[in-house]
Amino acid sequence: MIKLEGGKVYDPANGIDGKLMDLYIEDGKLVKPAAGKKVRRVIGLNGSIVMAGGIDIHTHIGGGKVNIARLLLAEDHDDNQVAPSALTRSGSGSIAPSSFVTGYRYAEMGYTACFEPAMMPVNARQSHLEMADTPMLDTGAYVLLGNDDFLLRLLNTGKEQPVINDYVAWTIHAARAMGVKVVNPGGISAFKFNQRKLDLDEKNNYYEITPRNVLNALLDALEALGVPHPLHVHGCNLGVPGNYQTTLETIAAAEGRPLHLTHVQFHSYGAEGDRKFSSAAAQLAEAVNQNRNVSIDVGQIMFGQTITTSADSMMQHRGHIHANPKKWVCMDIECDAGCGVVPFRYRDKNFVNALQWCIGLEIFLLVKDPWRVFLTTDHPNGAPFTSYPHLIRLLMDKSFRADMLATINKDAANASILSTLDREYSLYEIAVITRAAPARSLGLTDLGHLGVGATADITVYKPDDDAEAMFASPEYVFKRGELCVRNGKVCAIPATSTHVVEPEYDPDIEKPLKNYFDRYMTMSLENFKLSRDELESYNEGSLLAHDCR
Amino acid sequence: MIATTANVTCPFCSLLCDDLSVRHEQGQLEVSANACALARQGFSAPPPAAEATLKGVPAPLGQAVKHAATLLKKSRSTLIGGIGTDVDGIRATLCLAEKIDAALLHSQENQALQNLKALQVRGGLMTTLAEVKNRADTIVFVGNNVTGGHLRFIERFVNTPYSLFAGSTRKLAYLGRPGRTELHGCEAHAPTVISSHSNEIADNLALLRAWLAGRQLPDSRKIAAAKNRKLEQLAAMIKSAQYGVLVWSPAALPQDHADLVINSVYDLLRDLNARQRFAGLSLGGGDGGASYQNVAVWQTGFPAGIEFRGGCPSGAGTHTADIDCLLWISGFAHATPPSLNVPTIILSPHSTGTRDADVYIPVGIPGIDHTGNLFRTDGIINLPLKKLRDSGSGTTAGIISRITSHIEGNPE
Repeated sequence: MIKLEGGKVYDPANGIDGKLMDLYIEDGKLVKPAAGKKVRRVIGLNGSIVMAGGIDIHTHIGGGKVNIARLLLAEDHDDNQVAPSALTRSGSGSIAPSSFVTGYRYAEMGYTACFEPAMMPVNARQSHLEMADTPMLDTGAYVLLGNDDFLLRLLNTGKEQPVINDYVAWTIHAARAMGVKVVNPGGISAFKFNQRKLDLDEKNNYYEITPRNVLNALLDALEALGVPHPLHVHGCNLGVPGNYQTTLETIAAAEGRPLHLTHVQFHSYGAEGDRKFSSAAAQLAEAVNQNRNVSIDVGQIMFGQTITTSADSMMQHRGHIHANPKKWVCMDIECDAGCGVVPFRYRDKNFVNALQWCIGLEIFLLVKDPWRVFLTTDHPNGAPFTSYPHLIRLLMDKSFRADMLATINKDAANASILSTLDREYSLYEIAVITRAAPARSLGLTDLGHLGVGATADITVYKPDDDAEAMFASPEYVFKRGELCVRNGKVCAIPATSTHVVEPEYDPDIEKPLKNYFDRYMTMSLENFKLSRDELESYNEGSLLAHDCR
Repeated sequence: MIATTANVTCPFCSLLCDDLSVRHEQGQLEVSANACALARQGFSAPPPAAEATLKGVPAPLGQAVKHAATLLKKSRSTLIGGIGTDVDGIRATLCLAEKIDAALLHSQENQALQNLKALQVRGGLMTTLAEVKNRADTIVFVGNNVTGGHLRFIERFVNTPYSLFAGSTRKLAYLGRPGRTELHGCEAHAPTVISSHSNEIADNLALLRAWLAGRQLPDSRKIAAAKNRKLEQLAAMIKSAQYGVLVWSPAALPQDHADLVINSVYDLLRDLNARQRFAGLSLGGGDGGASYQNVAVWQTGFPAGIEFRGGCPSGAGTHTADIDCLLWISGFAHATPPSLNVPTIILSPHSTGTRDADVYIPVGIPGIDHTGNLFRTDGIINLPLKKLRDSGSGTTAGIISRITSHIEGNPE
């Protein structure tokens, strides 16, 4: 048993707010000290700050489009080569780093679990293979549905909801997923039919169904299947001025059903002002505050070079005119979905970019319930994940925020209400939005908290007035009870897990699927499915299947 | 005992057809359904050699592994070549390369580079095989005998009885020379052929692009009326497409400027997508090449030209001048090693041509002798491979990992 002595614990899931406590670790779990259990090692924490390991609920770390992003960022890889050590593997890149480096950098910030949000069913093998080569982290992924021709055909022919439920559950199994994401519902398909935009109630020309129809089907399916994480929604009209209306309509369309809106910063734009681009963070935050069924992650942008990588081929193609450097990739993929990869340089002196930065922060500061806001930059779309410590300081430190605000485009700063927002996140709230709330949303009962029985994923930070410095380099990180990061550097490669859900379904769904695959697809149904055995052969980590309600 | 296995994935070209049935009789395999010439030949391979050899002399596997490790450890500049293996074999190979500061060169890398040069400079618009099959009402082949290395492409994705959206008749065009039998069976699609010398392909693409953009050609460009008519016809066909695909194969393009042709293809695609839908498909990446590129990118950040120095990967190009040791991996028995006059280690199913090698170690063929997975030509789809016989040989991944353990001083 290891004793962590005298840490200042922030464990919101158990209502603990900065209490000096001792924690005990045995066999990878947090345990109660008991007579007869020998303390093998005592680590004195001297009042250092203790939180559960960080959990990133939305980060593009594995799959085809991430690899295309790496391909396009050749210069970044040339300039940022990473040498191996006796423990660690080599790699390169600072924006979409190679897989090993991604794992080390996350762990070195105190993160212990990351979830890939956009795994195409047909690309599940690649996504899991990449995550298997991403060490230090528990992983999992949300499978993409809602632009696949099989589902759109079901909806077009008016198939009853139980059939759709079976298909959704079958796909979750086939791709070994933790949840379901929909991107521009029906819009990626519409782009293949040369539609260039699709509003919530606009019909896909071929299937004559609307994004609202797709959302309804998937929201109902996840409720019926009892998948813990709500439908993960990247809505219509990403990045379009005035799109907050669509976002508000999407919230209304959920009609109280659990809904997660991802990277809402990109969906909270008004069309006011001289430049027809304005913040609608207040309207968005108000709607989130009023609708307790809704959670969000922000997708904060940061200034500098990054790359945007999305399944939303329709909107990425539309956005390619902003590519910087001037190269981009769009792809239509296997009657399943698509992708678009566009390098981007957010500039602080550019009105639109500066206002995007403000909008993200406004959302963080205006949404009242931290349990329904998760800290993300939609890595790498808003910024690389390595900017999280800086983002945390922006949230915790009003004067730092004011200093930064003074450096950006003046018109954007004046157009934003950011300077009037006095809120400063507390350490407790930071622990909510980076650990406790993501774990709760995903149904990870053993992660994101420090109660007895929890998996001993623990991060210890040395207190520092500069929150950025503090969160950039934890004193200790434990993964499943194993000390794996010391003073911000990897010191061991721990065992990890792959998280999945396995909802029940009627296997008869394979009859129409087999017919569909035999006629139209380019691989057999059998080979499409990623078996448990095959997944385990990748050594991604032990498979952990979570309960559905 | 005779057994037949269905839904077998064929690893012998990058289409990875997985509808093969393979008949198995005492170690000998025969494709009994959906064979092409490449599959027929590939699956008929005898079981891997039984023994490792040192300079042609049989040796216990452990000794061969140890000797390979000694040679690699002693080398200051190893080239790992061929790299014809599955995803797991590639993962193990990259791990070894990092430990010994090796340079890597895949057998298909020169072809891959033609695509990469175009893609990394300006990007591109791509599609996948199921989109071609179901959506493409217009298909334009660019090059000579474009599908010549992918023999079932026309059968599986063009002349298909079922297509979700494309209907039964597609419009086909060929910018280049079709293979002798390539378009057999395509008569119903009435292909337009703008046959040209391979050096004219880039030129024709530029003319086509000008036609489509409505640009006037300078008077100095005297174009034969017949060709002009055909290009006009092709431009009209392209304009009327609901969803069109341009298909090329780097191997079927003029080798001295294939990247320029591919650049022109992407330029044309960028133009077209301003108003209609069109996408590109490259046929290539066999012998595990598509897998090598993908795994290399996610593990190192670089797709080709990879060298490790001080354990750090770079992608600036593989230098072969001062190579003092060669590790040749040819799991699909696809390519033969160059003769470099340096200590040579060969991992291949068959011992043919390995007598002079310092070390030869037999490995199973992925998809025949062991399970595994490979990426397809479209780069994003990955299929599992089956084990069809029990040949007792090791996997490339397993052998490479044993060699790496020896080098690290942790022999099993």
